[in-house]
Amino acid sequence: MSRLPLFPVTMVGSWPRPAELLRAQKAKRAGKLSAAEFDRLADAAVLEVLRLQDEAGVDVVTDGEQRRDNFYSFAADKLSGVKLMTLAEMLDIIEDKAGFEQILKTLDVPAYSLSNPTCVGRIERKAPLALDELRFLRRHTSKPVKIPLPGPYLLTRAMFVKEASRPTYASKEELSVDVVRVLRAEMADLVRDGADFIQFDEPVLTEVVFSGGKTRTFMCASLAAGGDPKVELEFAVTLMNQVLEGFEQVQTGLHICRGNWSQDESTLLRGNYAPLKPWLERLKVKQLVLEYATEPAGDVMRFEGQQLGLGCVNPRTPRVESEEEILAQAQRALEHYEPGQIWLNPDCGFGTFSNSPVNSGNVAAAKMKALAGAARRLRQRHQA
Amino acid sequence: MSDLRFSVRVNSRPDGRCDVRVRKRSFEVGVPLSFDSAYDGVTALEQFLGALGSDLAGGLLARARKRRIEIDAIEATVEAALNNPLAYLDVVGEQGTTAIEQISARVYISSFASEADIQMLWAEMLERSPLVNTLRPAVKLDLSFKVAL
Repeated sequence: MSRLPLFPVTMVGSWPRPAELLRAQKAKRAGKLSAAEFDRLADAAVLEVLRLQDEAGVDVVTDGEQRRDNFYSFAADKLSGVKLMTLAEMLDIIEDKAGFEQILKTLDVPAYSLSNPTCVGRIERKAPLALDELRFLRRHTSKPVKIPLPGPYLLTRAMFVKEASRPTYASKEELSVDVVRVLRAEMADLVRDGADFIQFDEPVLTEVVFSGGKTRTFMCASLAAGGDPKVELEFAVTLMNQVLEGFEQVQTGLHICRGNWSQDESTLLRGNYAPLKPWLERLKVKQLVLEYATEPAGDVMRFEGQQLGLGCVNPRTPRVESEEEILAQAQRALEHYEPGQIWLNPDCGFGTFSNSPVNSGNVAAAKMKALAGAARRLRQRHQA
Repeated sequence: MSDLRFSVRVNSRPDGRCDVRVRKRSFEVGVPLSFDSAYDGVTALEQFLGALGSDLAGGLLARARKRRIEIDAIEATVEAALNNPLAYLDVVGEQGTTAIEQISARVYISSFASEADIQMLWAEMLERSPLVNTLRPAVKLDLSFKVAL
């Protein structure tokens, strides 16, 4: 990666999609729009997201996940043995229907709007997961590029739906072997083609720790049966480190959040990162991309041996944080980290789920601009 | 009162379920009410809630077609709060009448139409819904919708 300034500004990943692209996404899924026609619209959307990031002063750019339905379900299109199932379809096959109904009620979403990549056969890469995204960005920007990927624990937990997966994989552990293999192949492709930053998204780790066994997201189809949080965290660390083995040359990160589907902050899981600390510090990622702008995440704490991707604007609130607020947040981080260890980012994506973005593009742009403004002032203070 | 009548014929079965015959079709209804989550039939109460949800969803779709407003999907969740459920089970000491006190329905609509158009469809549907208008004087109804792509 080219030399970055202090306090590099980056996105976590997603940006709200334009209505035209959402229509195209639905039409493509219904077989009414060709992949080429969809790509034409998605290309235009990505270029616009690049332009907005440039204008805001973002240092490490993403493609806003414009081509994806959401941050992990897109894998269904790229993997054989995986079927994208709406929750309405999953309700027909899973045993714990009452649990799923509760999740839908908590999220206040319809079953038709959420899709889960469900393992229904042996998984293989039909196509690289995100290499096309990287190549397109490389052709249109000279800035360093971040590629978000679903983490191995998330993919395993989400894809293993025992009613559908057991004919092929006896357990989630067995499935995880192939998930790791797929992600390592993807890492190799991305590194070869010059990805500057590869970020793994593992939002369900907070579920493991903070939900008290009451699963709240459909991303953990079988989490309720998972049992001991320590066992789950150990499993997650093992998988992540298996994926990262041998890729020390590239910048990597792990992003954790606590739900990004609603602007209602009361739906968020509460609790600071202390219960996760012993496991997070064993991860071989170079950076932890964490939420801190949202109050339920608690105060900034230090993780040994890792950079901090400091969440300092809340993607779900309509109010744009002032540069002073961001500076104050950075100051709290500076009590635990050296200036060279801190990156600035929003707490999470602005459009994690394409059909229910948590903010408008205008607010997202203003928040990124505020982050970049604060970063410039921090650089002046700490450049010496 | 108009002369228009709708009727069904219901035949009981030994297992407590019923066959409902209507025009040239028939369907099965389970016991009136069950508190057993493993019960494998669809109770009369659940069928009633399903009918209300279908009335809301189908009614919205019909209005949308009439107005030529495109709707991709509709999903309704319907929940009833039951008073004195234990009286139904003849639990000693339990009194009162088992009845639905409140029905809540949340309807999700997937559409790129404007909020104003969806609001109009919702109002038109409620105005015409036979089930909603029959139930409204008898039970507390909490009906809401949300646009969710």
